[in-house]
Parts: sequence; structure tokens; C-alpha cells
Amino acid sequence: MITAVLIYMIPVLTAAMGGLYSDLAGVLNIALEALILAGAFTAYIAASSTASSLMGVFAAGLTGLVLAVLFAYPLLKFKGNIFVGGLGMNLLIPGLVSVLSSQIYGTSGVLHSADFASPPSLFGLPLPYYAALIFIAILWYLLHKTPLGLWIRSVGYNADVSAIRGMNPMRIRLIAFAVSGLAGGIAGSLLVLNLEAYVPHISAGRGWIALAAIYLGRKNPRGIVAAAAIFALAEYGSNILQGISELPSSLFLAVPYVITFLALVLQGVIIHRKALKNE
Amino acid sequence: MKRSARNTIIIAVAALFITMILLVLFDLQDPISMLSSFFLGPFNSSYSIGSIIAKAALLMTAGTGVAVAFRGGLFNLGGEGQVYGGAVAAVVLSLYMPRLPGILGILIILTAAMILGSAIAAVSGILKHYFSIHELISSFLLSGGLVYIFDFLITAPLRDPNSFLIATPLIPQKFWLSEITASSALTSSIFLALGITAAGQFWMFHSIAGYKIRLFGANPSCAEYGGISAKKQTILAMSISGGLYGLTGALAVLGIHHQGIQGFTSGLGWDGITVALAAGISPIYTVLSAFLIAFIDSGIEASMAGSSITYDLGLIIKGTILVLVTLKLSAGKRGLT
Repeated sequence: MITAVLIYMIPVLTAAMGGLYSDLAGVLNIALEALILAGAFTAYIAASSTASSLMGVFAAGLTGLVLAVLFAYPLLKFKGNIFVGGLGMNLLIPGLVSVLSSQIYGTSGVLHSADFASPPSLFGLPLPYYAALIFIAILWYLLHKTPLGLWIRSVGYNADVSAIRGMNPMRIRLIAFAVSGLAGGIAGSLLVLNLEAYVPHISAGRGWIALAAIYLGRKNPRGIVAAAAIFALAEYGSNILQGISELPSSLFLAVPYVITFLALVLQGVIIHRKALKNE
Repeated sequence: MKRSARNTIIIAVAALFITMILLVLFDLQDPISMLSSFFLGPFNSSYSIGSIIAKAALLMTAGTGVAVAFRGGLFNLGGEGQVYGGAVAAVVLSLYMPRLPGILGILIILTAAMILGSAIAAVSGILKHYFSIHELISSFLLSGGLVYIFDFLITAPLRDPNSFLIATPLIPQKFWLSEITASSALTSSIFLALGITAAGQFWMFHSIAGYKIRLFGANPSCAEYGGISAKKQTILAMSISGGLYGLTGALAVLGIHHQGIQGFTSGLGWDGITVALAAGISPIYTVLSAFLIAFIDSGIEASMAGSSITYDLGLIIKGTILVLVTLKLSAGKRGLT
């Protein structure tokens, strides 16, 4: 059960930790969903053509990073609306991935191949998932123990003051955005490496759940781990129920969204109550 | 306002130009026939012209609602669930209240769909105001869950067992919106939609309530200082956008599909956002941007046969429009236009 929950949890956690960088820098990356999908697709291409799952993770991370920078640079440079641009990416990338899939593989459906490099597992968890845990730990460390983390938070807190203090808010935001892209891409590769195939819509709302996890975790890594765990338990529980119950599967697909939404509401209410008491 | 008219046209021309490039890339051997089937195909029959107008009516309605939310500084990303909810409400009422008289029944159905849509969106407004929960996330999550629940309603309890589609039975004919030309999807909904954009434009720019929403959207603290209730503006702007999304869903049922089909309103929520932003967030210009999106969709349908074109092309074009819009908006801010 623990490995099953971790398999749901780690991709969301990876994406959320990256998203946290963008949020703390004041430019929440709502295109995470699309970046996960792009990462998943490139991970499939790389892992099936090079027969190396590590190459899959690497290619996916690079794709996420490059796409995030290509997307964020003009918007930051010309002060465009990063949310609207993100919505655009969320439409554009799934369309592009689907077209590329049918151009390269002749189908925009499920992709699987005998050449696909199945990653080795340790205690039932594929090795790339351990690599992702290390990646998460590095992100956590950078955010709280290095000047970079301080710069990111200070730019998000007040960009003008940060600029006066000698930082370059645009460059720091671009770095934060690049990190979110890198994390989104890696999260996507994990999904494909676990499934050993690429399925359309494989991201299945995980980018959005990751964004919710950032808020649910109150923008701190420890909270985000807890939020991702809640989501993973919900997903796990709904899969178990789906096996037992005779209700149509579409009802169970709603569970992760509903649980995450309810958790967000519950937390909001609790914080509100506490604030009232302290007044 | 004249500037937003010009911006809308610039975006439309740019979008069509990008579409042409993409089409040529899709078929390098015979780009001419590809281009002609895309750009001329939609005008081949009165039926397909009717479909463009019918689709544009839905997009105007949705786009006007989105514009209200954006003017209030709010992101309602729950459009998919709100449109679907309005549509399912329309199906349920028409199937289970067949004794309702025609016109009155239609009014009741449209109103109920609006109420459901606005209730769903209002939840996010309330959460935003009282508990500071970001409406962008909460509206998306709520709608994401609801879409699957509405899917369930159509696949199980409402499903017509004799149909080959995953669909409900047809609704009684007296609730169908009247057709303007024989055997086409073109119905009286276009007049309703045009009325909504005009009313929306007037309300937003020439009424006190609209002024309050705009002021609140531009600068919440300034608005509150001026005695404008943040609670009222947040919930009102979300409710109106949700209500018009709900209405869009009901119009899709009564005007076009006449039944509920699994996922049949999918994409309308996001399209509403594209339409509103391409219109420079002015309800009246959604008329223009709605026709643009409706035309692109039917161009894709016309050129799908015998080519590798799929609806994915539409996603690419709409995504590009949104990216163009942000660059355009920002260029405006820097005084370039």
C-alpha cells in the first residue's frame, strides 16, 4: 500500500515543489499541467528510442525547463499576464503533443513499444522515483538554506524593493519559472516510466492538484508533502473502491478533485476560525 | 473602446494567418486544397453557415460572462463544469417536467440552468471572500470534480438504453428553440446571445453596478476605501460569469443537441475565456471574437475529412490566440498602441 501511495504522491509532490518556486517568486506557473504532459511525451520518446529510463527523465526535465523559459521570457520581458499566458500553454501544448504523436507514431492514442526501457525497481518503487525524491530534497534545501531561496522569496514579496537592493527581479523570476518547468517535466516522466507507456491526458489534472497542494501546504515544503499525501491517499482509496464497487468509473475520477477541494475549504475555515479567536 | 475593437481585429487577423501557416505545414504536398477546404468549406452549405452562427451564439454568451469576471479582477476557471451543469439541468428539467407549456417551460429551463451555473461559481466567490481561497484553484477543482459527476449522470441514471451513443433520450420538441432556416442548427438563440452581449456592454460601462465591479477589479483597496463592498463585488462577478456559463449549456441543449451526450459541452468553458480575452474583455466585441472561434472550429471540421487534421489543431490555434492576447495587452500597457 505504501508503495502504491508513493507512486501517486511523488509526481504531484515534484510538480508542486517546482510550482512553489514560481509562486514564491510571485509568478505562479499555472501551465504546470501542460508541462507535465510535455514531459511525459518526451520521456516516452527518449526512453523508447535510447532504451534508457534515465534519458527519459533527463529529456523530460530539459523539455519542461526549455518550454517554461520560452514561455516566461517574453511575458516577463513585456510584463504580460502570466496567468493568461499559462492558460494558453494549457491549450497549446496538449494540442501540439497530440499532433506530434500522430506525425511521429501515426497515432494520437496510447503509445507503447517493446524497446521501452523499463526502469529497475527497489522495494516496488521504480528507481526514477528515488531520483525524484533526491531532486525534491535539493529543491527544499536550495529554497531554505541558500541565497537563491532568499532572493526568490524576496522578489515575490516585493519586487521593487528587491530591485533597489541590487537583485534582478526578472532574472530571478525566470530562474524560478525554469525550476517549475524542470520539476513539471520530471513529474511527467515519472508517470510514463511507471506506466511504461504514454497515454493521452496522462497528466490527468495532476498539474492543477499540484497547484492546490501549494496552497493547501501553505507555501511551505513540509505542508506540501502533507497535501500531496492527502491527494495520493484519495487517489489510492478511489482506485480500491473502483475495484470493489459496481458504480461507473467516472464517479471515482471525481474523487481526487473533490477531496482536494474539500481539504482546501476545510483548511480555509480552520485558519479563519483561528484568526477570529486571536483577534 | 475603439482600441479594443482594433485589437480584436488585429488578433483575429493574426490568428487566421497562423492558422494558414499551420494548415500549410500539415499538408506540404497540396496546401491549396487544404486551405480551400478550411476557409471555403464552412460556407459550402446553409447548414454549416447556420452551425457557425449557432456556435457563435454560445461563445458570445459564455464570453460575456467571462468578461464580467475578468473586469472584477477574478479568474473563473470553472467554466467547463458550469456549462456542463447548465446543460445537464436543462436535460433533467425537460425530461422530467414534460407537462410544462412550451415558451414558459423554455424560460424556466434557461433560468434554472443560469441559477445552477451561478451557484457553482458563487461557491468560489464566497470561498475567496471569507476564507481567502484563490478562486482560480477552487473554481477549477470544483468544476473538475463536477464534470465527472455530470458524466456519471448522463452515463447511468439519465441514459437512454436504446441509444448507440452514451446519451439521454431526446427532449420534447416543444422545448426546442425555433429554427430560423429549415433543417439547420441556426435558432433564435443568436438573438438572445446578441441581446446578452449588448446588455452586458451597457451594464458594464454605463451602470453603477458595472462601474463598481470595474473599480473593484482595477484596484480592490481603492474600491473598498470608496465604500464599495468587496464581498458583494466578488460574489456578484463570479455569479454572473457562472450564470452565463450555465445559460450557454442550456442553449446548447435546447438549440443544438436536443439531448445530453457525454462530454458534449467540453471545451466551451475554455473557449469562453479565449473569446473574452480576444475581445479585449468587452462584451460587445465578443460578437467578433465568437465568430472567429466558431469559424475556426467549423473550418477544422470541414477539412478533417481525408486529411490528418484533428481538433488538436483548434487547441493549438486557441492557445496561440491567448499567448498573442497577453503580448498585445502588455504592448498596450507600455503605450505602444
